[in-house]
Amino acid sequence: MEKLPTILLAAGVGCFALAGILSGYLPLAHLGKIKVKTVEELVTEPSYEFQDLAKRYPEQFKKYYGDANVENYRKALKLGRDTYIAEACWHCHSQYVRPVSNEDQRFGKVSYAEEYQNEMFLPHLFGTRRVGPDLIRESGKHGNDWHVAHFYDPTIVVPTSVMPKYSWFFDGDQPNQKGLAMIAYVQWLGSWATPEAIARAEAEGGQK
Amino acid sequence: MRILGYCAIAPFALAMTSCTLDRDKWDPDQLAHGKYVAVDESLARGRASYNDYCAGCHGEKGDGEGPAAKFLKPKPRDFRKGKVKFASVAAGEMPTDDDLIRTIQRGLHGTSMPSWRLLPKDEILDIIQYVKTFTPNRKAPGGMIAIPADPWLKAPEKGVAEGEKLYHGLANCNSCHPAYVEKPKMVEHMKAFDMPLSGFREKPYDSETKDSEWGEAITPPDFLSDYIKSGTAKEDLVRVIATGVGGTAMPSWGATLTPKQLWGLAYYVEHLASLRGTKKAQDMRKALLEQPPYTPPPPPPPPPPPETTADPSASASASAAPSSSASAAPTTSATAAPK
Amino acid sequence: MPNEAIPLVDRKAVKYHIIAGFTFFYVSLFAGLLYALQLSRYYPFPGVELLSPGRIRMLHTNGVAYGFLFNLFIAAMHWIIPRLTGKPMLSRVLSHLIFWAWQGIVGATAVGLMTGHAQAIEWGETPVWIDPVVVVGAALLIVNSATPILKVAKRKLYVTLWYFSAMMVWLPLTYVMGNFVPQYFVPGAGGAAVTGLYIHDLVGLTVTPLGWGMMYYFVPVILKRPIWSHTLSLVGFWGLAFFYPLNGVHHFFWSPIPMYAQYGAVMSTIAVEIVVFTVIVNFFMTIRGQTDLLRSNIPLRWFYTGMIFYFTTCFQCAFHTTLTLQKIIHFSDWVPGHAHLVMLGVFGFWLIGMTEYLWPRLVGNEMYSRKLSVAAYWLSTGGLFVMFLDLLVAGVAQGYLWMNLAQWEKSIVLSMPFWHIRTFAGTGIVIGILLFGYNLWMTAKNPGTRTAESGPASGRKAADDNAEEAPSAASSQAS
Repeated sequence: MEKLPTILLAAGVGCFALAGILSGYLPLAHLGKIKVKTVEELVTEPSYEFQDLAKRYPEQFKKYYGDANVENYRKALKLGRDTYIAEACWHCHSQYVRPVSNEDQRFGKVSYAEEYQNEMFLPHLFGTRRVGPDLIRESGKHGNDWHVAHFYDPTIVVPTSVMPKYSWFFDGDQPNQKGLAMIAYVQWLGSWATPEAIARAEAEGGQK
Repeated sequence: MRILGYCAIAPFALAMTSCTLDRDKWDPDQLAHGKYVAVDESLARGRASYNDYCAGCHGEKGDGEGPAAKFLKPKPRDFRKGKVKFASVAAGEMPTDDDLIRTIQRGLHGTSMPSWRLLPKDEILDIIQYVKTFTPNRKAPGGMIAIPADPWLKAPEKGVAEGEKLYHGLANCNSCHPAYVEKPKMVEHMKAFDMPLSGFREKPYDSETKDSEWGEAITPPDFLSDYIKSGTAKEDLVRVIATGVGGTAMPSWGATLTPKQLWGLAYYVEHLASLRGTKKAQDMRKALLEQPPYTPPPPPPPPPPPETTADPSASASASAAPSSSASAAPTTSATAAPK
Repeated sequence: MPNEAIPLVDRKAVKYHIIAGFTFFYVSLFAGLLYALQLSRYYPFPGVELLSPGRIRMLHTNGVAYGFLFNLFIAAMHWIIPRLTGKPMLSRVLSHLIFWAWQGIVGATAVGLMTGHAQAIEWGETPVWIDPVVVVGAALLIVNSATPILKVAKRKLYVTLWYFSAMMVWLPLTYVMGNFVPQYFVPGAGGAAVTGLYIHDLVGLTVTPLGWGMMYYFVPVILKRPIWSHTLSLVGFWGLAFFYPLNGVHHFFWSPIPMYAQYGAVMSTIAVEIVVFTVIVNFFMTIRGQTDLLRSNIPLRWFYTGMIFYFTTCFQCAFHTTLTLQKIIHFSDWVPGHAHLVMLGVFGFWLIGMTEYLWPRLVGNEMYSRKLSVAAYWLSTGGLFVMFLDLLVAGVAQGYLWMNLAQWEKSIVLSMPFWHIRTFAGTGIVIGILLFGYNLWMTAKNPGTRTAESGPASGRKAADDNAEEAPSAASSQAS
């Protein structure tokens, strides 16, 4: 128990591996039954919000993205995700709705494993703290224009907010490439589980 | 520790002192026209909540010019006008408290007005009382437009079919909203109501942007792709169709259409909205845009049309005579905006 | 048994790491203060991309972890390992290479974070292109410091070396697992399970073993008596090794990670608390009868304060890991309160205490001012304690507001006074550590108390140095 080989092998490797198997590999193998989708499989058409951005800010959109087609939408989503990470948004906004504390009442449908099994959650963005609300059901809760104003300076929309302003998402007061990408990304979060989408899925499921 | 205590109390103390109210400014009688009677304390609470939640867009003076307003389209409501877009009274009349509660609780989907459903009802009531103080010479709310019972409950498909006919025929919704049937079918629907046909809009499958009294042009929703602001349930749609949308080209249909017709339209729009975001909606739109060219039959000489046949919306309002100031006089509506 | 030709301890390396560690500590402290100001709505640089509060927060956490804690832990390893094994580190050149490599890594991380290249792994925000360099740096460090231990591998090792040598296995495994698996291979909930393991292993299998290893060395040295119970030391070490890594998933309770993993994490977290209790008992029995030293000996005071905080934080952990309490406090300010108590209150305090102990020995001067040392202790401890209680209460209040479906903004309005107090308490900590740094600076600069050679300055300290053999004596005695 006090010899180096025991310590290195039993404590160092053994215990680490045991924990790795029990709380890493097992859940991982369990979740591995759900196919991991690529962005191409996941996103098949540009969202309403993305097209709406193209209508609202035609010059900026043309300049940075061109048309509101699906390739550009994927590009915007990826850039939005990367910006979300670079600005560490996930330190103040979580991305999972827990089945407790009335969170489904507040945010929407409780999170489920399938929705995270895709490349957009590589790495996952579950988050660690909620200074601001959870965002995994954010899609469609606010309009694009609300998001533009909110990124420009959150306190002008929500006077009590402590979110910093992101002036580098803007050329003047028009969203730039990053700004458009962020809005497209935030509006994408949970677009598969809005009440409307759930109703639609149920209707389609019912037809089968 | 005492210093710490003061530090903790200071923000509250500051907030308290800034909340004292000038009683004389508000006439409680004015506020009492709504269903709920305002008292001074309620106004004070309402102001605190309003400044926390609403002032960013609607402005501290309720003029719809909060610091965020310049980014927003549609613009936040200017409460000084005393009217709103969505209410259960005829378009343009003073809304009831219940109307305001409904809008606050649900939000207006697709706009920057979010849902405030988690705010306690009491707080919403306080906010409403406070919001009313922005309107000078506030009148009583307009008379509620009665919503008839749903006649199509047992035959929803028939409701949808009836709605489609009316949408493209009698009500001529497609004079502003997009049409959702092929051109020959549109002509057929018009004929069914003996409506004069004077050609199609330039882009019959897109919405037609219209002036409004809100200081900005408004594009009516395309039900296959846009959010419907006041809700997609049939009950909500019937209300909007019956009352119209205040200050816009959407007239009140409550007095002109029969219950069956009103509900039929609601069934049809709900059907369209349920397709939103589906493959079916895309296919439908594609088929409409790619239909073969079609020339409408020459208009039959009788009956003599009213004076302004050139404008399809005017012809619709003339034939169906909906009661809306905004649509009856679309040219004056823009200038009617307040100073 | 210092060899005259090659001194056993590379004092220069120890000193450099301490200086670098404190430099990054100040950067991190000010970053933390800036972030606190953002929450109090007094951020001095609004709208500046390179000083965005979101990025500043990562600078704070990563600066503390990799800049402050690791630098000082490397210093501790350089001081302790040669003394316990009687063999020097592998190579002085390598030591200095590691020093510069590590500062390069931390500096590049800071630049990377501030220019927006962060990685979305908590506590591993190090940009992805630096991750492989970190692995190489850690490997060099391990090669360098494992060599003396391997040379005495046939002996029974002293407790400190159990912790240190096990850490040398855990650190690279943890780092590689946490930074590469969720980033490239496993998305979503599975990746979260691995990240949870990573976060917890980094604390539990790297920082904690280093910290306790240090304590098992310095406390007996200062007290000049062996550790009370060797058996409890064994229980403590093996308990930590077995239960600690199983806790990972408790960072993501009520998430889509399979529930059995979450239940397992609850149980093993509570088990850790029992293990912690044995270690705490061991140390408090060791000081029994000599508690007056806590008044006179400032390093010891930092150490034991840290231990009390360690007990508090682990006790807290055993409670808030229960799924019932999780419903309320998860995502709230309770968690930063807990994290500050662990990282600053425990490991930070231990390392500050170690610096207080080592610095006079490194520069050959008596500490410049005892009053400054005491002031630094009380300001930091007081500030941290206020911050901890403040965030604790704020967290519960926030949690209940969310649960009761209050409008979100209400939780912000409610938090405001708490956040003001946190800024205030944080300022206390910053001032305390600044005083501490000033004291170090003046000690190094002040030649007044310099003794003939860079050895111990007083009879008391000479006694301390002689007592450094105590741990190995303890080991043989108990076994």
